[in-house]
Amino acid sequence: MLQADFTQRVRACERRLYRVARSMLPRECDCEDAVQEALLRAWDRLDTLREEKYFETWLMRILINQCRTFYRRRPPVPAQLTEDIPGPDGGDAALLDALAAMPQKSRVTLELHYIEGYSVAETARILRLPEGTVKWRLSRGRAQLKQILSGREERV
Amino acid sequence: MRRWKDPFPPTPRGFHDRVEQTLHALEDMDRRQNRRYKKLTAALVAALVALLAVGAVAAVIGNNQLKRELSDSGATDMAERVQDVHLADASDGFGFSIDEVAWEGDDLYISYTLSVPEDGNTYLVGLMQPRINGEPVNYRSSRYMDDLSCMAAALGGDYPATDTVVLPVLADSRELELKDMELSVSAAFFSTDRPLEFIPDFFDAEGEYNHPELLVHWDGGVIEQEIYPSADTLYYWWISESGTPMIDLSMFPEVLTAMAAEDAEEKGHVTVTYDAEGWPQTCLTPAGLDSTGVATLVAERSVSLPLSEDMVSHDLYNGLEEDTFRYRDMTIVIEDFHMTHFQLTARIWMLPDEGVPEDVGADYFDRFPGMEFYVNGKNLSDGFFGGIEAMKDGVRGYREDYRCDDYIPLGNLESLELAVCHWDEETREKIVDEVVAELKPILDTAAAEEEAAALALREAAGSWQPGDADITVWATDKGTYYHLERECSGMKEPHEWAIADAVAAGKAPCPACAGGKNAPFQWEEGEDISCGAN
Repeated sequence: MLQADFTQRVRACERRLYRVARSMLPRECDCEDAVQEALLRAWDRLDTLREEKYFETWLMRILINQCRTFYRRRPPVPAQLTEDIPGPDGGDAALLDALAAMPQKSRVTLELHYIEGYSVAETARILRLPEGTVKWRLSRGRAQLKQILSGREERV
Repeated sequence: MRRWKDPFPPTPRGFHDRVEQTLHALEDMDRRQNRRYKKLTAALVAALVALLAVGAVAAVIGNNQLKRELSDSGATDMAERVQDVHLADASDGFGFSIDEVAWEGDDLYISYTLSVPEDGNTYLVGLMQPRINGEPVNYRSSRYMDDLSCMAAALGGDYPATDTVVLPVLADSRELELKDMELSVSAAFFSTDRPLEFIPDFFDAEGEYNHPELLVHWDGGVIEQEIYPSADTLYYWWISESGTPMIDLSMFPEVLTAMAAEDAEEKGHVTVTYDAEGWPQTCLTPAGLDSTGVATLVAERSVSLPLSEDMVSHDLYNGLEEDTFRYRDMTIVIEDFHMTHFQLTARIWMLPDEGVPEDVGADYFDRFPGMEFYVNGKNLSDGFFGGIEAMKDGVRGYREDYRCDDYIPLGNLESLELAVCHWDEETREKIVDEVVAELKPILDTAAAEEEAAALALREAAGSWQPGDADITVWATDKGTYYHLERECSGMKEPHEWAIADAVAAGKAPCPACAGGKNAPFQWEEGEDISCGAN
């Protein structure tokens, strides 16, 4: 893959890159650092990509690994320090908040499948999990999300 | 599957700018293709030297674990094809041996045995990721010290001093060039002063923790990771079928700290490898675990198994005599059916007569039943429940990509059924509601013969010498390699050559398609190296 192709394909999935990074890292500055590291690593390791058709899921996997590394090194600040800071406009804040309240494993699985549109097989490939586990997490994640959302409605 | 509305805010300007800056920065960077190869070569040479120094000796422990498991499942024909290997690396009481091998489709099964001295001590044993010719390969096992499971077996002392395990390795016998190939597997042995303590019912049936009092969140490390508060005791909740306690090392803060350290790879405490599809995987190294203080490295053993065509069997079922069925108010279509002694894969479509409206919620798809395959009346393990919405020939329907990894008694195949079933909430067993179809799989003998012929052709092309039978190959005028496949490596305007002319022109067999030996890709600016070498 030539650099022009690499650049083009990265640009084509920039939105996905952002959402995946944002679903794992609460701070925008960490998302920026993680995507930079992921792109540099992907470019450096491009020779390990055997089939170009897997480029996007391969890149997502690298980004997820990078986000995990960032999270390990820089755990998020406590919620009370950030809750008064208004988020960017747009999007579905209620769903985003509910997703943010979920365990990370379920959140990322739901995000990849239901928001990014990856199939179960592709999600499994990205997360390097058995497909059965992905289905289990989707099922459990839906239930958790429903519980969170309904709990909030009840409180309202 | 119904896609959800994007809940995220617009991509921030800062994120977009960082992506663009990074992409522009790539222009100033060197591609490090050759450096990686040199590192790999050095590692391979070091591994071979180490192997020669140690020497593979005849196995001191023989067993028939794989044969037994296949026979117990009814796959007696496959059990008969299992080859005894008995390659071992054993000294000072620490032993590791590969005992058996069977290979069909993309499943390479081996059984291996670990052994420790019977000196009253308990040792931890970790298995390293298997490799074929130095390249890491996928596997299905929880017994590796990788970033997902990070498991070590406890042997000796109050527990069995030997452990025999069947290990499936993902290695496609139809795609690999089998000449000069070898599978390498190694194990590391550790001593520990910490006592082991079994925690019964650690998880409940739903996978929730039954003993949250034993756990704390590690706020300095892995997201949502729950770990043991004390590392003074090696807790475990899983005992393998052979009676071996399995220790989840990733539950200990020292291990997490070692794996998450910024300089972990530099220090050799972890290795980051990439599988055939390029997925990165972080594994704790023997030195890495040794550095944590949880256990002390006392021995490493490694065995290398030469792979050969005679290990491969070809009883593959591809397709069904009939693939379309009716079930209540829908049509069931089975595509891409594939069955070996080790796996069954298929795509199942459910297409309601009324169609699937576009604007439906996720709950709508709950109406589609769970489908499972049954062989000789027995449910294959590890099948799927659930699928996704998808389009088939312009029709919206529901699709399940089914895969099970189980021993399948092909030599004694009496029935193969597709059935609707459900989970019994109390017993956690699958209950058959209705058999949808009795299936008749097609044994693909032609495929097996074609595979054998293709393999023979590759071998002939790879070792061709003047006087051998002529073979027509593809090559470009200036290309380094000749190819059997015209499309290989994206050649521009290739033309046919007699192999004698190609060899006379100094061309070598392509490592990807013509049986050439693995060689470094001499990447040059502007050259497309994505799928081989020209």
